[in-house]
Amino acid sequence: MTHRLLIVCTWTYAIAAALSLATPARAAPVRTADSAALQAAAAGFKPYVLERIAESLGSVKKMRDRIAAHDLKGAQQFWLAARGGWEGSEVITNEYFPDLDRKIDAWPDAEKGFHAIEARLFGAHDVQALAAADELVANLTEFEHQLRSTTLTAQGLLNGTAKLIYEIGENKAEGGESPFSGNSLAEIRDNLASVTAAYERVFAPTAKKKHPELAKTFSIDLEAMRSLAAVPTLQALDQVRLRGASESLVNDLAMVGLESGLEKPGLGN
Amino acid sequence: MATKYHPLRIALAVLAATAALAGSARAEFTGTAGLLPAGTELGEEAFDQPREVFRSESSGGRKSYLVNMGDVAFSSPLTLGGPARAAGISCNTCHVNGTTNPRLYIPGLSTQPGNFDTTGHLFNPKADNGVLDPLTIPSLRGAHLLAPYGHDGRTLSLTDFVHNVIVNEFAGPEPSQEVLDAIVAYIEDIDFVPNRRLGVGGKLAGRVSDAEKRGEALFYQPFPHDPGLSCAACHVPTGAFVDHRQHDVGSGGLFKTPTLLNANFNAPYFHDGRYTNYAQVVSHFDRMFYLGLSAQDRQDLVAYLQAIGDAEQALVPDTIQTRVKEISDFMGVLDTAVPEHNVTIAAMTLDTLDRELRDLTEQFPERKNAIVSGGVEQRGLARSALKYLVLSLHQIDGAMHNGHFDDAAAGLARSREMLAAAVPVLEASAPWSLFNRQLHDAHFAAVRRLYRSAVDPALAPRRPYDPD
Repeated sequence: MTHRLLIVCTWTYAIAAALSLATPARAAPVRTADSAALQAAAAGFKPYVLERIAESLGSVKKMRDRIAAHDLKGAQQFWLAARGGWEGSEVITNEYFPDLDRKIDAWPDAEKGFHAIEARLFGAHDVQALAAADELVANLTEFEHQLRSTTLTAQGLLNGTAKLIYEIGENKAEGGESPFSGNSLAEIRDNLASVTAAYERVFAPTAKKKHPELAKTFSIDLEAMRSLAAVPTLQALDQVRLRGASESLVNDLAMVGLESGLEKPGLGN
Repeated sequence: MATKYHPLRIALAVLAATAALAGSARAEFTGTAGLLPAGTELGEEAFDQPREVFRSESSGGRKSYLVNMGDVAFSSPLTLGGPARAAGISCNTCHVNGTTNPRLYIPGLSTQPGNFDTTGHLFNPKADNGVLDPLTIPSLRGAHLLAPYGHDGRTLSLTDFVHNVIVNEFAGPEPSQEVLDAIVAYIEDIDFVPNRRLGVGGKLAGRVSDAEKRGEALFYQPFPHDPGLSCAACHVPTGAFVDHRQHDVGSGGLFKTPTLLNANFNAPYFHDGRYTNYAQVVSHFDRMFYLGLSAQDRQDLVAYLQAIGDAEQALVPDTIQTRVKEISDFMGVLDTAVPEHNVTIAAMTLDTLDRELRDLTEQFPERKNAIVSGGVEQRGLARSALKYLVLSLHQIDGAMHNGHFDDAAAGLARSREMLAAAVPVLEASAPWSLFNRQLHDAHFAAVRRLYRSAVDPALAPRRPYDPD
């Protein structure tokens, strides 16, 4: 019997009931000082994601040009590079821009989005993806544009980060999110980088000050996920333990949010 | 139910093209192709699933703790070992709802859909006999009446047979006696699906066609060149259409008599699945035993076999209610395991519940799904409810693991409440879920289109099964 990674603190049970409702939680009492600091930190997180999106967009444009030039190898290289920036932004993509996310990271869709292009470049080994590449450039450009005028909030980042951590624990036995390119393991690491950035920049300062035990537990569980992802191949990934670790970390983050005066994270969609 | 069809699962067959790149000149960027051989088909996306009938429930009772625990173990990849466990394969993957899997195909181990070499190299190299000798996956319906076990009937004890499958065929860890007994209890509770065409003593009843009557007569008629034999002599109608013995019927050795009950749903036929329909089976016996059947005789026998092999609603749509019932049954195992402080059984059950709930969550497509556009709010609520249930169960796992049994019991009560609260949320989302046949079919057609677009024509193998 393989045990999933289980790191449980006594406070987990004490406030587990707070997370148990199937419907969205009511707002916890807001602590003004914490709230102001959190909101400021959340707003300050935007340059980080803007940089990641800019990286992704830059690579997507180069990929588009390589596709137009019928350079398969070059297009593949820039597709992989573009995924790094996109996956490194996923703490906000679905939470803030669901409609664009549906176009950019569409699934299952053979016509548009990253994975339609991935299927052609890495599966079929052709560059018949110019229309999809043009559309991806346009959608990512619009994404960057909308992001510039969007104010990130602590609750929104809590939701996005919790959803992403949960998703990392999904089954990867069939090849993960990007099966044609074999890039899924790298994307898990990019996801974890964005989780780390969101936590450290937005939630950790308050958590470390007000709830050091909770902050310590989060760090331990996050490090456990990173260690599990530090394997050479997707086949070497211990998915049972990764799943358990992701669930521990979502629970941790939900506690961080509750203790910081936020609502329990929305995990839908 | 214990279906597990992650959207990517069905794409494994098409992924053969990407995996075939390994070692080629273009191998710089290669797909991961999952953990099973490229070209694998597990047939997990079917909307209609084999109907489960349990003897305990049919008789007005309920499934016991042992039966439910056995179902959990049967559905748990942790029961097996090696590549099967890593790829999320459980007993239920092959024996879908305790039946067969006519679509299962694993390159290198299968020669056609529905058969599979249990002594091949993939799942346990120590059991590899160096021969590609695939066998069909037997349905376990009515298994309590069908000893001996194995196509060749080599094992009298179902317990011994299950143990061999786990440890030797699938490199699993030595199961505890508790788990082994539970799996056997589960299998022995799986009943045949009722067939109202059958009356007392295995005789046809109700409205019987002329062809069926003639076929029934032929079934009992002694073979012309060996009057001691007849179809009914081995497929004994008063005894579940078996005689519990092995026979050489010209198929390459001694094999036990298979039941004909519910057999319409057990194709392909013979130990290796060489025949896809009854007409071929009847022709085989006609040829091997010099029966001298006319074309009409053969048709009549086929009509009779179809009548006795039938079942009422052998396949039923996958539904929210079915899934919730199974999850509730599995949680019932915790009702005993938690107060008994049985950490091992609780861990196995919680792991299985986690997989089932995550699988159920994917039946309510996420917002980025390109096919489903309506019911965004409802789908979000359904996904959220199920994810929070997963997180709640995870806390029970932690509590059990750390010896905090009171907390585990409280967590279980909370999880029960969450499941009850989730049901109306799931049902409200049903129109926009994969429990809607139209959306289900559209979703998987889109998955297939995507994976087809990833196929390099120069490298693509032939797929054994393609619903489109």
